[in-house]
Amino acid sequence: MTWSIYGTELTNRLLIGSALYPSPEIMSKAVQASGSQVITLSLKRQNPSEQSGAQIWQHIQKMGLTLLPNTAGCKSADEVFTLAQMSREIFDTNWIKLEVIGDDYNLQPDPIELLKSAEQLIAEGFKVLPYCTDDLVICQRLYDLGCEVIMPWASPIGTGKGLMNPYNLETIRMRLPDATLILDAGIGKPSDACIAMEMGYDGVLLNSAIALADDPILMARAFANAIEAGSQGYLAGIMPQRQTAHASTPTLGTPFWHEQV
Amino acid sequence: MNVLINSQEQTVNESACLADVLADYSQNKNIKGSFAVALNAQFIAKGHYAQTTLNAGDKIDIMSPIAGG
Repeated sequence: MTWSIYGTELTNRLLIGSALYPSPEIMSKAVQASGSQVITLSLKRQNPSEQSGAQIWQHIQKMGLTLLPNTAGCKSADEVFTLAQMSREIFDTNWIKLEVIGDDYNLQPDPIELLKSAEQLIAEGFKVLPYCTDDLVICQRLYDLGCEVIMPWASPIGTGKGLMNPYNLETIRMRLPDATLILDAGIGKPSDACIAMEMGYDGVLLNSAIALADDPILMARAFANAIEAGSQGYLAGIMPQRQTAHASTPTLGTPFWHEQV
Repeated sequence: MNVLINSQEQTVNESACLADVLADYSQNKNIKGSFAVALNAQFIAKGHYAQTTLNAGDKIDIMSPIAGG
């Protein structure tokens, strides 16, 4: 079943990062195995002695995927605005994964700068995909500003701790039924992604959990399957939990020795 | 005069525009591929390099694609 991000139709619900892989070749194969159609990437200062960035970029260009540049490393709306404009020129896209960090310890997004940034970028024609915490009000405000896509974290970037606060994430889904919700950051294992999809999230964005696996290509496939399973489970309609046991085998016609006399 | 390119001091001609400085820098450092530029933390579009004049102490950032999550 298709879905869309800012009008771009997609069939796969995994957005994948391009960092931390053992090599550009493994990155390419893992991305291919994941079936992902959207890949994140970034910008940094040109260092002539370091060719790895150029190699990765060459591999990404060959894959023909939709690019989602991020604003990693930014700590203010002003920095974001400059970097976003540079990204738009290089990558030729209005899409921007808005990251603006407020704390160096847990890399938590700064909610004040995030809102300021989102407003500024939207006014300049960007299609903003903000990375934020699982705070309902921040998500709501970002949506009200015009972010069609909201990307709350599962847990801090790169921790692999999974869904720290399922209640918050479920509440965001329930309160923002029309927003495109993508769970971003902190996912550690395929079941984390599956749970997010079972909650009704539209997609999952992850990087470390695949790139840092012993076998990134196999893990990419595992995530693709988990996301597909969770998505189908949600669409199929998950049965409500019940407080008491209910026999699944029909009780009519049970053996005579169970009959009451 | 001196300017900072990616935090490294470089001596450039007084009359040099941003396009001249970038051309020299790219050649000297063997920089290939895509890049975008900010001058004193403000984005400068490619089409404006030739009209952008420089002052002593200006900070030029040259950014290129890298992997990201």
